[in-house]
Amino acid sequence: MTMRIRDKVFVEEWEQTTISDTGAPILALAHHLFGALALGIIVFQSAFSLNIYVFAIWLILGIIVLFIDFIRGTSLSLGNELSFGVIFILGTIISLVIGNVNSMFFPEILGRIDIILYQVSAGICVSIRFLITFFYVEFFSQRNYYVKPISNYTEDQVHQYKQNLIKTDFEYTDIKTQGLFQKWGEIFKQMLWPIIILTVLAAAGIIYSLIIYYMIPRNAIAELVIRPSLIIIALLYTYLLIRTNSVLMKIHEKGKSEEIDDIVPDDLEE
Amino acid sequence: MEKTNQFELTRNGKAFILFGSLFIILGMAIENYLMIIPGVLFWLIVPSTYISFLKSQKYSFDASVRVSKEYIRSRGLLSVVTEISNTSSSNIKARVSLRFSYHFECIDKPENIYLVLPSNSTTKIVWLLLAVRRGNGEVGPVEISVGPFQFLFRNQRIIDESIYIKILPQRPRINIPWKTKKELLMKMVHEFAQRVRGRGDEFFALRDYLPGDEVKHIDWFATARHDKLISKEYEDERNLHFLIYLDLGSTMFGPKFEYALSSIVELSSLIKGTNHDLAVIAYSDFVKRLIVPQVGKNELRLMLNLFDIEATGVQSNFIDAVKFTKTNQLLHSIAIIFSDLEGDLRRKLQGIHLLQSMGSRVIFVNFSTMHFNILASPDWMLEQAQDMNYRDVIKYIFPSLVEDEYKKREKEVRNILYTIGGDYLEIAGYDDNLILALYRLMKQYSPTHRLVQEALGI
Repeated sequence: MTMRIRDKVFVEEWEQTTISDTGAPILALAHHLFGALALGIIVFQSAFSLNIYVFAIWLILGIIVLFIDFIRGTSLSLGNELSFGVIFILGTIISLVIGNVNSMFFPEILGRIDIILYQVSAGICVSIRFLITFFYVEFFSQRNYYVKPISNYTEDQVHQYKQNLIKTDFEYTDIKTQGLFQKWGEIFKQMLWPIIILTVLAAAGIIYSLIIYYMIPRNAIAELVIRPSLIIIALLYTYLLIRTNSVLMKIHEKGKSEEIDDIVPDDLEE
Repeated sequence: MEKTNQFELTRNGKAFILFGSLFIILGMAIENYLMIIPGVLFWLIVPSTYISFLKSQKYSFDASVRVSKEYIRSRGLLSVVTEISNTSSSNIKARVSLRFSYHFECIDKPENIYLVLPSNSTTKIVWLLLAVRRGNGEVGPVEISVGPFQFLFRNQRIIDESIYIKILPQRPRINIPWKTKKELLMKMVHEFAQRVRGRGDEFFALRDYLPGDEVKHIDWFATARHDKLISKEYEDERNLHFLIYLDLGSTMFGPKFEYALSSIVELSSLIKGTNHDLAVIAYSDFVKRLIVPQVGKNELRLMLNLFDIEATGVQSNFIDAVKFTKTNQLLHSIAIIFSDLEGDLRRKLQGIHLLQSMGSRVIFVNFSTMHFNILASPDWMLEQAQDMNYRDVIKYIFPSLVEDEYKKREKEVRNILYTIGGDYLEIAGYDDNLILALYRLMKQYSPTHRLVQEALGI
């Protein structure tokens, strides 16, 4: 459809500019790479299972994810990650149902440590992909564009306007904003405490399972004791997170009500 | 300064806690580390938002927002200053976002910026905004977000101050030199002032008495001299009284209407600083607004009344508007009708006749649908065109009248105008201009006058 003259004039004079932070395309590329890497590892592992169905399913899913990433380009969002997660869960369920139950996670030709290594490395890739998405959503997917004057008339208009504001309250000044590494640093600083907490939790879990193994060595019963108890701990942690949220809200509201209490006597004195 | 604090776990955040647990429990159940590790990541992120919330409790801000103008023209610039003083003892890393309505766009700087607020100092942020749409624009509130992952856990201080800014119609694009405008105005006075005589007090000439002239205007000395009734003719003080009938009907919807408004701006710029006056009657099925005659010196007051006029979705009733002006004694003026040939033509023609009987000089300005090629669809009218971006408007365009019907209507209007001595102008699309069209008209009256192109230096 041809553009109306008035819009044409606007487009000729003002260019809509997305903020050209060098981090954004690199992050998007890294995001896609880690997604591809995770799927590559899974496809590689499923090849070892010697089950053609499982291999074919993961290969197809991998290609689909690659295509989706390619089409979306730099528009990363939480919704898109959800579809990625759904594809993962779908693949797991289909390969569990169609293939041999043991073929996906316990292929006979691979040892247990190998399987754990594959899964952990794929999991780390997926986590990094998620982390990149969170970072991207936080800093790049905001409405981060502006219009830039491109014609002589508008450039002059903006220049004159800035000149007219000099030595007034509205004087235009450029402001120093945070750099990319500063933003990364901030995120990691904020995640320091949770990492410590979770390391302690994980260490406790490992020590707990080692103790159980020590008490009931190399026995199926040991697995039956460890896993349910870890699941219960996970549930408790979830409960803790949800409760903490409501407690924080209460702390905040309490702070507010105290402020109000402070104000009331002053009013009465008046 | 009114300030609201917003701290809450968002829907995303709750989903993250649940997903994290689901992944970990499921992963442990089928011993799949592929699921456990992302689950752990989700678990990591949520507490980090809690901790940053607890840390941010000691932060305290004070902030203010000011704008440089209360009203601006569309495509004009506005400066918005936000001063944020960090009264706590530590540096704060925050995201400062300026919210504003769709009437504006940011220049040179996005609306969200990430910066470090040093302790015990004030940071001044200046945003330059470009007004892109006419109407009642809004600037504010300002949001200061502290801490990571705002999409999971909102931790914001919002300065709840909205400043309303009137955005007046756009200044016309074609820049016509003032000298040319002045020349045009002088020609118009020359052509039209005599025709709208009768309102002023200044003596103009003597002429034969005609039935209908007032008895008090008869010059008895001259009558005695010539032995027949001679009456005095008064002329207006050579001031033009422009009276614009602005059609707010459904067919004038959209950018076409914006263009009509710009034409009013143009006309008012023609009379700027003079004693000619301009009144606007905006009508749809009834008279929506009357802007009482403003002399050229009060041009701005006129503009300030134009900023929030919007076309409506109903059929307009021109005859009603003319009757309204008749009851308000706005006679003997140069009536410029901003309308088109769509809709009920009969009412328009009746109105033109009535105008002529009121002693007005009629100029019918047709914002030709053929050229603008836009009509609003009923969907658009329902969906409040006010709240839409021009970019979205394009979807709702449908073709106008067929050409034959259009030609027929044009002929009809031209005939009527010819019989009453009125004029017909056509604005042919966005490249055309009211002043140019008036120039063309003046050229008709005095063909010896040099060409329009020459006058405009094209």
